[in-house]
Amino acid sequence: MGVKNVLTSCLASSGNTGFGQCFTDIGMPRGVLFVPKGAVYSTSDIATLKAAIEAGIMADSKTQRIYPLNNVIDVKDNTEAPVIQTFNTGAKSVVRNGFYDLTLQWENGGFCVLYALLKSQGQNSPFLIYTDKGLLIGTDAGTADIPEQMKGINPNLVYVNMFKFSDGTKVTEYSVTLNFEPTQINQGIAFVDFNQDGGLSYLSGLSGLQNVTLKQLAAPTSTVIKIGALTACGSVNLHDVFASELAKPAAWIVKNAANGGAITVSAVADDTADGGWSLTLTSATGLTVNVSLAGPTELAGLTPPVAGYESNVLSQIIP
Amino acid sequence: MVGFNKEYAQTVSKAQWIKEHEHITGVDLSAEYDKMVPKSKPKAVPKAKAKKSN
Repeated sequence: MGVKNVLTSCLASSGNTGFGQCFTDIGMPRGVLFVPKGAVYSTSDIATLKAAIEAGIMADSKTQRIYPLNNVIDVKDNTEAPVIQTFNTGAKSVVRNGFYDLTLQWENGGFCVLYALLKSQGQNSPFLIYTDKGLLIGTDAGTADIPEQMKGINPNLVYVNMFKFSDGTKVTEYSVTLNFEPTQINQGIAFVDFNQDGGLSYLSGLSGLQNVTLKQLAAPTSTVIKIGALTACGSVNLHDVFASELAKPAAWIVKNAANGGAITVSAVADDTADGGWSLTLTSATGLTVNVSLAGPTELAGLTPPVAGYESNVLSQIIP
Repeated sequence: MVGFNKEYAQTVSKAQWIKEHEHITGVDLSAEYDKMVPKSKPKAVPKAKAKKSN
């Protein structure tokens, strides 16, 4: 049967309303995972979904990365009511649904999280929402061939609100507003229940990457650069935490600034006195080099792992 | 704590490698190089088989 001149919405059968001992209760939003545009996640089993999410958070590519917003402490629901027209006969007709409009406030991470989210202001990234019931909610992306898939909710607007000062009776307010078309999580909902797999504590424990700022600790010599590393938010010295873990060539990337060619790091020494690391370079004399920590995936793959960090790129002029 | 690049060490001579890393103190560079680039054992020479006489 073709679909020409067929109102397909009328072909849907009615849904049965019976239920058993357990039923789905959506709950209260407690966090959001901003996911890459176009990303589709397998829901064939939770282990696969967990692996995809965790790999997404560590993704070296910023466009392929998942950005979690956790520990939401306040939800303001400004969802618009359905627009209903009342006629002079008294009859009513639904014109359209109202859009969901949720403002989620967080406290942990404070301005650091706000500042990070502001960098993607205007991108309107899709997102998954998780709730206090341990549900991860997105939109059905199943196909005839692969029915077990979900994707992010496509927003009309993701707006990171400018912070509001504490007034002495309330904490400083950091929040984001999510505005989206409602059928995506009603008729088109796809949710995964994590309650047998860590539940809310697993979902809220999905931390985003921390930015790391590299700094020069001493003037470079012809073969050695001395580098320190502080977390961008909080200025924790990574040397205090990962002195030996980062004393490995695999933890660092050095490139020729002129052409992007790799410069071999032949040794990395923990420099206790200066609170950093001395990197021995080969064939870098006279070059300007760009130094960074290895990508988040590579850092997480070290033994022992250094998970959850991404550094800036520091230029060094090698004499 | 010092981490060395084993792949790089395998591409250069021991003398060159030690010279390039002599600024690193508190480490036996010779022993470190030998750990990364083990001396290859001389190959055993197979004995020639005696020809069978008809």
